[in-house]
Amino acid sequence: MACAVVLNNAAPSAESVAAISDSSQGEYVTFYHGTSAYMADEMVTNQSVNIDRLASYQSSKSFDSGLYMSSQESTANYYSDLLFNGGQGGGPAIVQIDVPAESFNDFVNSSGISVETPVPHPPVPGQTETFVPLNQLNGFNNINGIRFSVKGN
Amino acid sequence: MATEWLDMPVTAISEDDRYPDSDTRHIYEHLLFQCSLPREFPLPAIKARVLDGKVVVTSGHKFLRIAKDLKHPTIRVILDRGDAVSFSLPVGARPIAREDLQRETEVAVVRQHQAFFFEEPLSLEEQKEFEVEIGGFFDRLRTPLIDANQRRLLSVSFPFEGSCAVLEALVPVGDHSWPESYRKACQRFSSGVKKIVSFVGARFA
Repeated sequence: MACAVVLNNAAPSAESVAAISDSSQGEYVTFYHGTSAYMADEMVTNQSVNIDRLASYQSSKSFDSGLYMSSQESTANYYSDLLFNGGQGGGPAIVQIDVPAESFNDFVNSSGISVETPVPHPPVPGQTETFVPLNQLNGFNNINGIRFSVKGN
Repeated sequence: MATEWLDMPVTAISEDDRYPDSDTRHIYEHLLFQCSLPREFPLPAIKARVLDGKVVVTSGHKFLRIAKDLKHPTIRVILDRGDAVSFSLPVGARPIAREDLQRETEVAVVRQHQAFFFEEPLSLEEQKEFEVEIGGFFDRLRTPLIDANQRRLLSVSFPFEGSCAVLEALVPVGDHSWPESYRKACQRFSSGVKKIVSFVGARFA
């Protein structure tokens, strides 16, 4: 699976998520990940992305492996609806990932991942994505203060 | 305490004013129709918690109502017992093995029905365009998960006098490289031919 992450200073759009202020942790950026209810439940319980599962699941695929996320909730909803509306794994779900902005910037700088890459031929103007490859997900999981929660229906 | 995954009789689950339906994304009648189409897997799971000795839905109200309307005997429930650790599960409730759920999420290709509802009925010409541009997308799609020579689009129909389109296709849900292109094709149809109101029961944006 490939991965797309969008920063809080991404191209302006109606759904771009501004950094959230938290007195104990500073500012956060928020991303949404469209997946199945089971995977979402697991991600929230473990407060991390299950890298082993992702690796074993995607190892036979020819496309890049990683994790898709977007600052646009509608994009994540679309992905989860399209891929899981059949009900497999409990059906569609959205995981909200809040990441301390400063720590995320450090992670991006140290990992060398590209951020704010425009979606090729985006259906909605302003859509950007960032690919965080599988071999960077351990670092992503270990970002200090990262929080995973299930977004309501 | 970790959440429990259960297959539970729909009659054992109720709604409560303290947990109203906050879902404005789905259109009930469209979602009901989508859920009435043939499917390989059960309806999406709802979330529930134990409240005053009863199982109360907290998220996924529409899927619970649909399960009742379609007379499904059970529905998948992600149950949060909260403080009610001694709560006895309703008769007929049974746990779902996590291995089964895990296996389902690893299914790479799904035979899927997708219902589109439009602002106005499609003309015959527009139906033809839908078949080519949206339905034909899956036959044109290059994916490592389905043999290139295999037909992916299985059927297209236009019920409700053309106000709706239903396509049946082999969808490579394990390949995440194409959904954006598909969305673009749908967007193009919605803005250039006929506005799409909903896709698989959810408002289309």
